[in-house]
Amino acid sequence: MNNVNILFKSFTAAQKARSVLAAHGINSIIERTHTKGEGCSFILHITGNRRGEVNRDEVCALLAGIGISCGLS
Amino acid sequence: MVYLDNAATTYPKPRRVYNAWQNAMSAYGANPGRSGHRLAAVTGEAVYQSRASCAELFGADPENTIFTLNCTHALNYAIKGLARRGCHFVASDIEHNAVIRPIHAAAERCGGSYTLFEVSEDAEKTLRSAERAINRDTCALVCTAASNVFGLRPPIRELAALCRRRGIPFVVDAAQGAGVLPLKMADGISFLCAAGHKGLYGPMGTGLLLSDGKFPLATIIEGGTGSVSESLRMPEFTPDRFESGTINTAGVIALGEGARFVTEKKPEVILAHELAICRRFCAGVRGMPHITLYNDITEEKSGLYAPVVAFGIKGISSAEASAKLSDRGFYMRGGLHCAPLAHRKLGTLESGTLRFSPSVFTSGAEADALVNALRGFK
Repeated sequence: MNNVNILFKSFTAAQKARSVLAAHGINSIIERTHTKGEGCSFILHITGNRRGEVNRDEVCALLAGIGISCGLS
Repeated sequence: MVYLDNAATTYPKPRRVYNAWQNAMSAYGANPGRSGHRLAAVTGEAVYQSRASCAELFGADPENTIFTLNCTHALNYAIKGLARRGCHFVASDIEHNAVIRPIHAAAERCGGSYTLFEVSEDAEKTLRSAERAINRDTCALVCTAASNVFGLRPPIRELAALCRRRGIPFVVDAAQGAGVLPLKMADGISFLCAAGHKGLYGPMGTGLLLSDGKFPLATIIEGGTGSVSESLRMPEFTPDRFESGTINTAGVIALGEGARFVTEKKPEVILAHELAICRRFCAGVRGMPHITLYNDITEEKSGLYAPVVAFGIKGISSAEASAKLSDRGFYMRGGLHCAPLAHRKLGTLESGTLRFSPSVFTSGAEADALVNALRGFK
């Protein structure tokens, strides 16, 4: 089981990612954070499917499909 | 009361839009995208759902779907954001002041210029005129999807193809077209500007700027976005780049509900209904000697027009006629409709016109009632 957190500069991009993952049964929550040198940004905490399982490869592939990388987006 | 001023703003709105607005006012009270607490998060999520619904209607990306105050606000972002020193704009000769005034101002400030092209019922002629107007300094072609005065529809897809060939951004003023005409970003539209409160059935004080993401825009308003706050420059990413300050949260959530209503009803079904009402009205007044129809919508001409009919009553100014009709319970707008270019073209700059503009809720009986009332003006 992997713990996947993705950092976003844009709240809308984080919401878009969350929405795509939710459509595939993958739950996540967005938290506001502060990135040194940047200011406000957003972390998408991916909590996984109904069993709490997270497949990082699957998550990253789904996000890549909408132009979001598992790095800073 | 018979409300036929839907080109100014649709009324009534669908019940679900009122409910969404009311619910947003009470349930989504925090500032979206600003604070980190739970209420801010759920409010932000509701705003995102609205953004996604608006984006879906036009085939846009949610990140390239920007909430504005109205269509004028969106047009100012697009036009002034594209302006550069010495730049030349091309626009149609039926544009609303929401287009021509920002172009005029941008040209004055940038030492630029603009050329108007002639729009007619003949799409080929319109395209030739537009092509002639483009020069090597042209930084954008701006065109309405439908005249707000008499409904004429320029050939948007063909104009988009022309702009693509010439490598210039194509800005569409969809104030009268959004929610009714089949407008998609994939048609080659670079920037689509829409009012939220007309064919999308949202509240007044809402609008949209949609981009295909291919042409960068300079900002004309700067401020807080709740993101990359340590930078003194505006974010490069959208929608944040163009959404400084707190948005009209309840308004945009209700707008999203309006967009979902339109998507479910289907714009082509709404268009067919409203054009049928216009044809019924035109057929009713066509034989009246004291009525002048400026765009007589027949079955054959339905594809050329959005559901707006310009007409006049001989011997009475449009303002006076509008007031008299109001006294009889018919609400319509007379005058110039903030579009002197279109009135100059129609030859009605002095008199103005009355504007018949139905919505999805307008019935044939209401059109008939107006026809009967107009008989009394003989």
